[in-house]
Amino acid sequence: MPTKSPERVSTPRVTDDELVERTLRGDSTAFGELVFRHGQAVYRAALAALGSATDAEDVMQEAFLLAFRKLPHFRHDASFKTWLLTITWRRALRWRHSPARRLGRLVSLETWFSGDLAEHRPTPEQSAVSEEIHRDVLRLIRSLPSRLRDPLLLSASGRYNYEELSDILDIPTGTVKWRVSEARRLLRAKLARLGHGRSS
Amino acid sequence: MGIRGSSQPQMREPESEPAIERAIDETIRRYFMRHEPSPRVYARAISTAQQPSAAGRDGSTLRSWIVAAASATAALLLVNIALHFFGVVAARAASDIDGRTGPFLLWLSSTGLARWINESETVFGYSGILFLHTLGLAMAVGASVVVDLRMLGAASRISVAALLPVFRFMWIGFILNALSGAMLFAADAPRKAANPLFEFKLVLIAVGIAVMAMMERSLLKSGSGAALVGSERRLTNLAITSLVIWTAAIAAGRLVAYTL
Repeated sequence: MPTKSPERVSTPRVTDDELVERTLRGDSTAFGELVFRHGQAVYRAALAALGSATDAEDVMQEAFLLAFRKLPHFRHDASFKTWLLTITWRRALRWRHSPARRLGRLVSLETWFSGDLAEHRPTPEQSAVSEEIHRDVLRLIRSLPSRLRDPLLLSASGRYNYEELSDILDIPTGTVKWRVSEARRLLRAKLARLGHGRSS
Repeated sequence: MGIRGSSQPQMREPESEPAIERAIDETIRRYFMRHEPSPRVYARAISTAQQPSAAGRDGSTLRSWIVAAASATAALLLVNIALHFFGVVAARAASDIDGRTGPFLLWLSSTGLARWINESETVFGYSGILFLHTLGLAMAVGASVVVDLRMLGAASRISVAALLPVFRFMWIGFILNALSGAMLFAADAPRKAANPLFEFKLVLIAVGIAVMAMMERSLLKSGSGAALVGSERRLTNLAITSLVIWTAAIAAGRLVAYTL
């Protein structure tokens, strides 16, 4: 199994649909380009669902494997990216509810949405927000119900618009917006109870 | 927004609402920035997709081993619970054995083979056959548990295709188990046949073998077996059934030994 970084073919003007067609014709580099283009979006969706970098990597690998195998059935009803993210989200949810994963979480040192934010040197922008509030926000996000946490994380990750989120989560766009708004309102209220900001 | 660390936190100035909104966005953004897929993950995603039969063989991480060990411990605990639960029933069944012996069973237990198994003082006699029976059990059930746990999501970096050769060990283990089991049965046919737990064990083994065969067939039908598009739920159900059946079969097998 090669683990070195594969060479990336420069195809800036080629659309996803063209890359899909080339992949179906047997062009091995075309699928690699699709992986490079959408790898981060796939990874972030998995990370939002699972809160674990290790699990997100596993799901990313599985999602691309499934996409490759299902590619002949891709009907172009939606964009390739949306189709791929839908596959990713389903795999991530399946993994989130897997009994083996739940068992694994019991023995894992990695907690959901874990991360030592202080390990990064803060930029001037980052310095505007104290580490304490970051820790509280993380903890409160963790306590949100998944139906609110998922859209909030996905929307704030900066990789998807509301229409894509609607397709990925399989709920209307209006519902996505409402859930994001509700998640933020709950976070603000809880943060206010902890002494951050003013209660709304 | 104030910087924390003061010895009088109650005196701090609360952040404004826009500052709180920024804090939420910033926290999530920093979290995602902190976790980026490495080039190694991209390379693996590409090579796994394009060479499914050779996929994911380097994925036996420490976490997967811990999950497997924890699962095995849980299975042992279940067996222990089952032994305690069925112990009462088995003790009652043992007292009911009244020697309902047919002519075939009497003939079987009087054959030269049965007498040799019972009377041989070499290691190849009863103890050797019992060893082969245990070895066959370990091969068949051990391999089955590996496949079952993979179907339930453990060690997901190991491709399913890589597990297909494991079925060969399952069948070899089963054949070894069946042959040695038949010899052990012949050595004590009347008493074993009268024990309802023995019949229960045989039924469980039959179901376990059927589940094993169905699982192997499903994996073979999924092409290279690298992905299980459309059959995940069926395979998950089969894996859970298999784990339950083999656990119960082992418990019943041990109880048969205790009640004879």
